[in-house]
Amino acid sequence: MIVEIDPGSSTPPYEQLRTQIAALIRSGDLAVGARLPSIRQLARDLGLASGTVARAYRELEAAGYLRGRAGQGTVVREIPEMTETERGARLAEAARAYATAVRELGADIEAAVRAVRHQLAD
Amino acid sequence: MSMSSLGQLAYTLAWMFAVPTLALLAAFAPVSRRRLTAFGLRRDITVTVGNGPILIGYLARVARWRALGGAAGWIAGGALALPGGCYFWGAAGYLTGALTAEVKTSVRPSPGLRRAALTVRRSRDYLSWGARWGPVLIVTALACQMAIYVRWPNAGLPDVRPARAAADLAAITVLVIVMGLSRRLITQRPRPVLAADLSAADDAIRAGSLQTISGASLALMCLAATDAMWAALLDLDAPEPFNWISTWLSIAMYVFALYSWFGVRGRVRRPRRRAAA
Repeated sequence: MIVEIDPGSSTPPYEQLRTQIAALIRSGDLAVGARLPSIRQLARDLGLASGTVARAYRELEAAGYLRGRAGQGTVVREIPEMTETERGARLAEAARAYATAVRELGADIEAAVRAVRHQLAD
Repeated sequence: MSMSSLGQLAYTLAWMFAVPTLALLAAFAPVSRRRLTAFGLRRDITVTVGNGPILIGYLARVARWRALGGAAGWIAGGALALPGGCYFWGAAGYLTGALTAEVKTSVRPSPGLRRAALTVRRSRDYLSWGARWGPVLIVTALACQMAIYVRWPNAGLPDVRPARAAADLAAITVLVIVMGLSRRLITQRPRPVLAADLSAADDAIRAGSLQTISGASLALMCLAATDAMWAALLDLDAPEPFNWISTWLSIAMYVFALYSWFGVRGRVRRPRRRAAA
């Protein structure tokens, strides 16, 4: 399981990390009970500040994906049930971030939608 | 000065300088292809165009720092007649050199996307059984010996000087801390996602460094423990089988010191790859 951070992206690194880990948990690649590396280890491996990784972990804990326990590290929890409202809010948030990136790149809407379709088809 | 004492002085000086000189000459020689191949074979890694220069750099750097530290410690221990002599201070210098060499050791990632694996890295995945459990065995043996000594000191008047016991205990504590911190430093060193040959080289470097530092630390811990244990044994008035146990614990500590230096330090354990799930 590999996560990657694009330093040139308009999406903040903690958000890139959060979405990738959440996707790995939702897809089942990260099983329930799997241990994640410590904040310090992951931060060093990715060349990020510890606070950045800590924020991603904190948000995943708040969303119910992870559980941090003293002496046990951070482990994956059962996939949290998400209400329609929550899902809609998350989707809107992600779409807003993507729209910002599209505007920044000066791409037209057709190309942007095509890129999304291509990614979703992967 | 008589001829015999002159001869003794010459012998001492030769011993004091011959060992470090030979060690330095061996360490500062260029890394041969044979040595590189042997390193790769023992760790089951293929030396490639990509990882070859990294491994050569690593082998040269660590050998030089370790030899420099060992030589300095050996000479200082002999010249200043420090307690423990050449052996203890030579090993202590070697450990210091080994730690110094680790500070700048890392496999650098290529620029661009930053990638990392979601796997937990632990020092015990890189270490052999002896290196992992050695400190526990040493402290347990020392505690047993001291418990026997406190219960049956010779003529009821303890002769083991508290300062000596405290110095040995302090040395063991410092070494445990040094070993723990160095394990953390080496295990937590950045490990970006690399090509397979570079990853294998990185694993081999980590495992080699951890094993060397653990072996040297354990050998020093054994020497410090032996000092206290032997003093207690010579001043012991315990009935059998405690006298027998105490004698064998002291001998076992000597044997473990030799095993740590000649066995644990160079032992190879292929890192266990752990999946996050």
